[in-house]
Amino acid sequence: MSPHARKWTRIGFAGPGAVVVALVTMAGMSLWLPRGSAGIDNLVLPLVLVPLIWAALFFHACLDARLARVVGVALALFAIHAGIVAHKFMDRPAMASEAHR
Amino acid sequence: MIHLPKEETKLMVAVHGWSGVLLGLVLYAVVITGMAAVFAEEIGAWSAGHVETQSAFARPFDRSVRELAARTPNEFRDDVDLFEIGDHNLGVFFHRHEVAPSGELINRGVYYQLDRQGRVANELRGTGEEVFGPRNDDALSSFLVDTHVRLHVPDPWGLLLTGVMGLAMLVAAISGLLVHRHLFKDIFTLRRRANPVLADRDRHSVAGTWSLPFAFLLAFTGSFFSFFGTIGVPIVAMAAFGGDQQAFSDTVFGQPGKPNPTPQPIGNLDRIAADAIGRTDGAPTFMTIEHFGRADAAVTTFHESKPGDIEPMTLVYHGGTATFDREKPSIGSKPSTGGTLAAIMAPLHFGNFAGVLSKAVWFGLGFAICYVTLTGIRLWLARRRERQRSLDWLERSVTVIGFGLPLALLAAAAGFLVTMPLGSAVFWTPASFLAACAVAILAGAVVPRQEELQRGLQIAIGALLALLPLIRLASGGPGWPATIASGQLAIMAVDIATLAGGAWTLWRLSAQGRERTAKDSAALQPTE
Amino acid sequence: MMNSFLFAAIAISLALIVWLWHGDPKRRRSSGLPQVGNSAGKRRYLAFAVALPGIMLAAIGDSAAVLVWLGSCSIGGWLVTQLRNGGDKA
Repeated sequence: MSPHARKWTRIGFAGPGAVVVALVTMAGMSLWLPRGSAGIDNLVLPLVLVPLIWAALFFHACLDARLARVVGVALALFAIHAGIVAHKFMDRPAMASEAHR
Repeated sequence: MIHLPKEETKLMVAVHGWSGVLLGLVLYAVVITGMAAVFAEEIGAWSAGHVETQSAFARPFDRSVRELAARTPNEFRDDVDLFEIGDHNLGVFFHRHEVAPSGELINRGVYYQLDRQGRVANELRGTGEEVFGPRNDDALSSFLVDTHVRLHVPDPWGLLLTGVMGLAMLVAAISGLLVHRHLFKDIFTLRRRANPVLADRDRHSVAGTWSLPFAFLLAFTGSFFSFFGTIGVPIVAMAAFGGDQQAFSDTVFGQPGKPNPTPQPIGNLDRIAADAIGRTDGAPTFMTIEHFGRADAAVTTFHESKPGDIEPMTLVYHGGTATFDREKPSIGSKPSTGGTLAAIMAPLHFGNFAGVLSKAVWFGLGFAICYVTLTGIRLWLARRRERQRSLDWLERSVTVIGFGLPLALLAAAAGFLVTMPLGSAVFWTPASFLAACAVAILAGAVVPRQEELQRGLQIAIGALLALLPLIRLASGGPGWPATIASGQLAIMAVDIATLAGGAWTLWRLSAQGRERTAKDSAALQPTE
Repeated sequence: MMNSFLFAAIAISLALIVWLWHGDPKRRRSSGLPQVGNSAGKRRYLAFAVALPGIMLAAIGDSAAVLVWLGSCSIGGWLVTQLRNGGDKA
């Protein structure tokens, strides 16, 4: 990869990339975090932690010398959490059609 | 302290510097109004001459609420919010919950503003967004809080803007920590007589180091508040409840228990308030009645935190029988990690968990963070002054905004004090602010020398600070004997603070003036 | 009663911060003062002593007091740094 492309990849993951991955991670976390004693931890903790998740992604993108690792961590977080959310949405129409029968 | 490799350090310096320069002046506006907003309640009492100290909940209000219920259309009697307005009078909002086309949860109903005798002084109908605007007697505190929360930009853009400012401060705090190689070795070093770059660097890094933990805390909690309702809840509700924000709200804030729509008149609210005051040693700051007029009605009273705690207290009562049910956490029906963390975000940000003591500390920290922001921009400019003359405009802008903004806030206070007795404070408070901004901008354009501009603005700040108590008295505000007699010490305290602040500012400026005159005449002597 | 502990904690920590400020080697060097500052070991010991009142407030479970103490030390430390010594050339 040319230095120019590497620079813009890093800027992309530190800028819009960090925002998108943080928001998708927040959405996905609500589906796998334990609910806790009041049944709300999975809903409230992602909301409280999202500024820190974003900051961690931002500084990781800026400071990790290995760009491949920056891309890998961000894409993995995105894929896992987007996948969890998508799975939940695919389940919902299936459950609705089950209810109809 | 943290030794990053050279390239990463350069990048962090660039991130720190550019985020500070591009966003620093807007961030400064958010922080300085936040600093004032810490004392919004005291400033409200001071500016409007509120001498009442007894809470509206400590006086009978049950009968008023029943009379209001009788005249409120049935469709709006699902829930009721009760809170204090004006000089410890009661505000009552009968409402129902609706979901806007955007999916956002809104409340629609009738908002009654009561006077001291419990009679309706004003009645407004509409959504919460529509009815809860500034009133004549709280126009100044509303103006300060609204500027801080959303910079007067309409929702959701204003909240998103201040949220981005919070993230910018978070980035600046973390990157500042990463680039500072000798954080603790430099913590007491202020080389005032060194070259401007070194002097500015020391001022900035000393203030930044001492206030670092709080800069991080305030940035994090502030951005939480800005993004929570605008982006956070809709996204989490989408993932967990298919976009149903009502279901989200019911899960997080709702009361457990079986619904029972059997009609039953609400129990005695005065008895509930008295019991709540007895249990918590303090009047409620807010009271809600859910399912008003039903057998499953629940009354929740919200109180300040117990001494030593940060999380506010919340009590729940059976609405129909007016009997105590339980103490519950602020968020969630049972104590939980998530509930506790979410519940302490507000006290950590507002600094109101230990009364005036914590508010004073938070005010001081706000001042320190304003100082860090301005000295940081000045340092960035000082480093480039040799190379780039064309940055004079930015240097001037920093002076105009840095000193013009506090001047404009003081002008808003003066405008409020003069026009509140005339009933036109809602217009004139922001108008005075804008007029003072225009004067500061004009001064920035016409005053030839930077030092004169800065000195002129500081003199204006000092003079206005010292004059505010006199303006307050001249406009018919209560004098100190009346405020001491009623026990409302906030009025005297704010008077003393502004007098002392004004006197100290003017004294410092006159000392600097004398020092400069002495230097100038010493410079002249060899030529005589 | 709690407030007395808090004020005492703040007073002790601020006094130790003043001690640290007085003997800070870099400050003394840049101010042209005689180099009789605190050694590195003594500075570490004093820094730990500054934190001790806060740790004790945390140990008795007064989270509000810990925050007020920490904030007061932050502001106090910053104000102490503004002080000028007699022969201060900085």
